[in-house]
Amino acid sequence: MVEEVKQTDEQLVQDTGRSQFSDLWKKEDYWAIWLGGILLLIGLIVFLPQGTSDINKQILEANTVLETEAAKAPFKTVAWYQAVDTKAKLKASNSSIGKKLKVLTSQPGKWTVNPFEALILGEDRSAVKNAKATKKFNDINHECQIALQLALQAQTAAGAVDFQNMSLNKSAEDAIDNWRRTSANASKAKKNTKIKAYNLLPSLFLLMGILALFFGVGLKVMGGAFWKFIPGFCFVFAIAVVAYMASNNQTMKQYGIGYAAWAILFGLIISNTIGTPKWVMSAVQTEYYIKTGLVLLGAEILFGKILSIGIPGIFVAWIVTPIVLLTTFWFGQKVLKIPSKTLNMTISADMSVCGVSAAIATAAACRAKKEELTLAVGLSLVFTSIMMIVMPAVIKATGMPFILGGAWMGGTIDATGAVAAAGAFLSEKALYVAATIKMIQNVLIGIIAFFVALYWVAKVDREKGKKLSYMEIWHRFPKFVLGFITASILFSLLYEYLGKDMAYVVIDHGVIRGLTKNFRGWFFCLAFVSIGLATDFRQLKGYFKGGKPLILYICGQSLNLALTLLMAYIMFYLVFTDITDKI
Amino acid sequence: MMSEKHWLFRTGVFLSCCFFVIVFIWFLAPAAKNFSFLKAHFLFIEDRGIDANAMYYTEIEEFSEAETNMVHSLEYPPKK
Repeated sequence: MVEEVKQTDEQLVQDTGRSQFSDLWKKEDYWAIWLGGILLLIGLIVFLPQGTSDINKQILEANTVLETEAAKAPFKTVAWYQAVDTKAKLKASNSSIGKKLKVLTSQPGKWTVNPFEALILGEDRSAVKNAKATKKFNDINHECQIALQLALQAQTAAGAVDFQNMSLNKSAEDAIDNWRRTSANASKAKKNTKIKAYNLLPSLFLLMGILALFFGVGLKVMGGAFWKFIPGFCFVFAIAVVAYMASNNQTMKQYGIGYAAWAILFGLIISNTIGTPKWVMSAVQTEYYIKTGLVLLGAEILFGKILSIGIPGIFVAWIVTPIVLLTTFWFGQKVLKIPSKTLNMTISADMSVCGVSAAIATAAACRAKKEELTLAVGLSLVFTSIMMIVMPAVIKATGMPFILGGAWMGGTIDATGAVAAAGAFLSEKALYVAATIKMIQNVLIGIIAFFVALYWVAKVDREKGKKLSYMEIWHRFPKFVLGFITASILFSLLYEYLGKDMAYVVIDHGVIRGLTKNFRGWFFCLAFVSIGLATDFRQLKGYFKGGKPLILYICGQSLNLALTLLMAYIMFYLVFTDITDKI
Repeated sequence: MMSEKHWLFRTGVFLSCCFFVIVFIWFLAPAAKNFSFLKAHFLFIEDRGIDANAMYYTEIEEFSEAETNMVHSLEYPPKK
């Protein structure tokens, strides 16, 4: 299997088109499912028991306060928000085992001037950082305390007339909004006062060893050379660490230039200058890492979340997105006549859904080439940085309501992190709406990957005039997509079974944010390093000719901007105004 | 001789690329932040500690907060 991959390694995903029972241990797709499944199972075993009766009691107490406060006033009171904050702090990842797993799987840390601080931070340096941050926190916290007092006073004044005075109610609401804004700043500032000294080198070496065995065992069973894989993997892992270090530079975080771009860049620099060493090539297993990462990503696609913002969010995220995706794909095929369908689909999904994560899932589902994924990631990065800065300015300049602006940004800015930055820059409400719309789009990846895979197998890859039987479709269907979808369905069902509140504690902030999300990040980073190490820049240059990918992106994004704004306005301000009032 | 010259050239290109990465991270990118229309935006991101390069909703704390607020706003709406 490994030798087959090497000979036809242009495509991101390979498939031989025949199924046998031995595929279960010989094929990469199935190994991605087993390996991803093992990690998900470990996560469940570790974190599900953290949902104790004590946690349940705290949830019930907070819910009682929420019910009481909701019945008291026509706006969200201080106590209402404090009850929400209490529930938000209940996280299984804060348990002792959760903290140990976090240390094991953590990426290099943040740094400003000295990159080695990403790996090692001494006591004296952490003390200096904490002292500086403490001064800043004290100022912000003082402001927050004043804002809280003013909010309580305004609330009391409104309550004194039984909340019958609209003007007093509005004043109370504004004062509480101001308190929430300063509270969010204070909370972030407080985190910066608790920086402990660390040395990530031992945990990184341990993680490297664990992952080398993790992937090496599967590779060995598939017929690969285990002992050739190990040193190569260490090299790929080291480049992944450097990519994470670059992405965690404070300035790079602000620009939104993530590990995917750095991993590809560093890989490209090595492969196109000094050349990727031959002994590394056995560990350049792009599809193996990506498929395993995608199975883990499946568990993060929780269908219950599409109801988080109610019907308006579903219309904006789940109606507009497929329309833009299909229209852009059609435009690329029929108008621009882009030679590569897979490039067209990858860029269309990247732009219309949610950036790099959508590009990865779609590229794998339609068997795109590595260069095509690289190009899609690059385009997304450039436009994300621009839109993250320009859109909030446009929204403010046009006097657009912030809820509408938030929905607009959430549905159009590619990168999830950039959506948060742009939304928060406007206001907390804009952030809430933007983030929720983007999250609903994130959940759409599963459906899109499945149907793209099906369409490609049933229509695109078949011989002209030949009709494929269902068995043939099954033979050719990329099996890891089934693992991806199954993980999504199982975790979505588990989420509903546990109930929103407990699922938040043990699934959202347990299995996912406490374990599998970190592994998934590492796997994608390894995959992007592998893409860079295996890509000849001359092959990449060919895709830029004529500028068709750029034209496709611009035209598709223009449609996305127009349609999203229209749909958001109709849904939030014409049709479902009662939901908008509750936000 | 030819292959040694070729190898030296490739090593030179590699080191040049590394140099450009360093210049970008340490000098160009920080300098560009000082443009007036960008400054406020970047200062805000720095103060809030937002990870603008996060790839998926589970990687960013603001999304969890946003979802929590939205869910509770719909489930426990204030009386009107």
